Amino acid sequence: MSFNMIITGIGGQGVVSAGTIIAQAALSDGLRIRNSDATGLAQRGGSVHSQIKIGANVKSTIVHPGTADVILGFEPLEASRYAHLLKPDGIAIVNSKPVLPVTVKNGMMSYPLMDELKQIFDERSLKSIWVDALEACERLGNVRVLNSLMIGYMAAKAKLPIKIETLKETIMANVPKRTIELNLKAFDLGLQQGGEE
Amino acid sequence: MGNNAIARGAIEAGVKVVAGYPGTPSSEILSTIARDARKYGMHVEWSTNEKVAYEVAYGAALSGVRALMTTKHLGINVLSDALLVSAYTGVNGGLVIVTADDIHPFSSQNAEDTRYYAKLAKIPCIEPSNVQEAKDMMLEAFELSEELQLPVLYRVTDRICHAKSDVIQGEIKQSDAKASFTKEDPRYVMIAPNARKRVGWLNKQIEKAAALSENHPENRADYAEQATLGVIASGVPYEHTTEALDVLGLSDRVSVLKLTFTYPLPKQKIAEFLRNHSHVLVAEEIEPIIETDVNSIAHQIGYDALVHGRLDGLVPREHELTPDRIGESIARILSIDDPTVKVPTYKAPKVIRRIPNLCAGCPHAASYYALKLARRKMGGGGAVTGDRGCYNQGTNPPLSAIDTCVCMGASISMASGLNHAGVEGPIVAVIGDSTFLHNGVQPLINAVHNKANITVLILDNGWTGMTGHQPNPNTGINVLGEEAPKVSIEQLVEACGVQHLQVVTPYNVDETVAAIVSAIEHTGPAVVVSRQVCPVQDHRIRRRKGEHLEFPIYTVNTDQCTGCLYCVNNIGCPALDVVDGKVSINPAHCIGCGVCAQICPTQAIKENRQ
Repeated sequence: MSFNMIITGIGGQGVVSAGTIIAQAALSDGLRIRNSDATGLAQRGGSVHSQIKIGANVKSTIVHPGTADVILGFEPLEASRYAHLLKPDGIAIVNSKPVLPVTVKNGMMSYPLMDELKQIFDERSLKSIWVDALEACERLGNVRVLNSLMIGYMAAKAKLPIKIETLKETIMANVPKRTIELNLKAFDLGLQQGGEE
Repeated sequence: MGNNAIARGAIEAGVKVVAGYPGTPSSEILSTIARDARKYGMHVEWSTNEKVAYEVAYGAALSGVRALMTTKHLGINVLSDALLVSAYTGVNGGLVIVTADDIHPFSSQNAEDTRYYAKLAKIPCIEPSNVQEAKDMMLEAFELSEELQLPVLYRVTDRICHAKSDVIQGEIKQSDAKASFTKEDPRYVMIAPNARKRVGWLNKQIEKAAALSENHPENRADYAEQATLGVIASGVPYEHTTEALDVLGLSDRVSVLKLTFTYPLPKQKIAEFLRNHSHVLVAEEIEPIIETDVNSIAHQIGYDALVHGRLDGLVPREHELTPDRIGESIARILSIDDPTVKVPTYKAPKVIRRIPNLCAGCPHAASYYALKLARRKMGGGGAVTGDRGCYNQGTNPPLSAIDTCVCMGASISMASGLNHAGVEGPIVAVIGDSTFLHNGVQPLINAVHNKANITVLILDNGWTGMTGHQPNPNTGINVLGEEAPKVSIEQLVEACGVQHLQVVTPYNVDETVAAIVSAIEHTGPAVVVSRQVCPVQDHRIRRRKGEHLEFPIYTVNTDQCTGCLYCVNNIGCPALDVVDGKVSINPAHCIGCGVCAQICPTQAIKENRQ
């Protein structure tokens, strides 16, 4: 069986980079991968997701509903949107800080309450962990390391078939040089927080 | 990425000339090849539009070298004029057209199945089903093109173009083909008497292609021993099918006929597959093209069972296929004869849709605001015809700035039509710089010649932004990053015969409003060029050069802000947040364009000078 996951969020949060890092790390560990991104309007505040499948016998690039080991949500609404992909013993790890669309800011639409979004997982008897990852990033001084932090958190919580060291090396190879240290710090913080709870 | 794999395949095949026009999901193919252009002595270009690109590649292929043309599906419509005649002359060096179909569609005006064009033009069609195959089949496509002397349609979809997988690379063959042109009357001169001679030739070539398709190793049937159901699948749906069978544990009960060389179809192989199954399901994207032909083969051989697919509704009629959609269809068919087979259903949660917007500080948002004000000043009414580019996001709330979006260049011609029909009020066409050069110049000449009373607003941000910031003839550099002559939009507009032209900076709201008002007041076609380089790309380039960027800092005086949300509702800038009913500016997103400060009714937004 393959290890399947989906990373969800909005344009600019580093969803696709996170997907690339995980896929590349899996490759470095000698595993086969399939990775498919939906980025049509990535730069313009639209929904973005990256699906990753790791294993010897991966075929389609799309995660079949009910087969995802992990949903890694960078934004609550975007995480709940894909709850049906999670398998019964899978886990959703969600950054609980919402990013509001303009149509919510001006009152045209209303953003669901956080409890309603959690409920989407609960009513399907699916496990979800909600963590204020953005606050942790702000403490590190840069919200742009959200993806490294979330990958670290996931590495602690899920049975990822990739070595921690490989993930770190791949992060180093993929982020801008001047932010390597900060990204590794974020990864370690995520790893540590994920291990504590 | 699949697009990288396709690029690699073309380089391995020794391609010499590559031309295209950017379009999601195809764009990365050409830019990937461009990175190696010098190394392997290839000519690579972004052309002004797809027809031009195709003709460049076709011209090159006549000389005996291998040529590649890349486009998204809509570009095939643009180049079809040349395509259908080029099939009559045929080619000498291999000519492959990669068409990347956005079939869902995720970011296109329509969902189109370009495989129809293979049938229409009578050229072979290859449909790889995964990233590895997308690389591997490229060499074969060039060889096939040379063997048949026909252009080959290489049809991929989003799930190949933007999918990533491990890929085994092949060897790069340095081509020793030398370009030479030999006059070959009457082959290249398609006047009617000559064209008549080529009709029969083309039909013979496509018959030869049918024989090749029949024996192609990737048109292959995997028979399951106990199978009553057979699935015929082409392209990405083939991978989805095998995946669905794995997930549902039905692999031993269903046979699969994989089709890769899909025009012409291997009719005998299909006939044999039909005879071996009491049910057949066709899984293809996105129109029932193979399915229709399978039905016709079924009729010819007297197969009396129903062929299932998009036509009888067993496969959803619209949109891309996914493993679960195919799995559901398979289970439904099996459950007809075996009630123990359960039909799975998956319900996606219903949550609000996230509507995309223009980026923070986008000059288009400022132009749209000025346009709105100018139209209001001129009494309202009329229409704003849009075109194709980033600025389409201006159709979403809160801006709701454009009334139409059809295809490249249509903004100007449709505006003319609305004007000639007698629609009252200002008729304004909005078009980007790349789009204007793609197909907007002829409509402008037409508007001048036929005295259309319209305003054309050219949103000039210097890049082909929507598709990932490719350079165009208005950028000043080419795809290789070399300096390239920059076309002058002003001189071009004047040469078209436009009598009223103004160039403005959209970040200056008053100036832009005044220019649009004056253009609307002018009788006859008038043009306003609203020029501001795309900040996303500009900042990216400057950061890469090691520049430290500092932006003017704008803040909201909460005592002065009345919470009217005029700024949020009229420019919809993502940097504007609403906290406790009042506006605040997110410094992580704001680039200091200053437009919100200019439009705030209570002057609550100020630049903080340090």
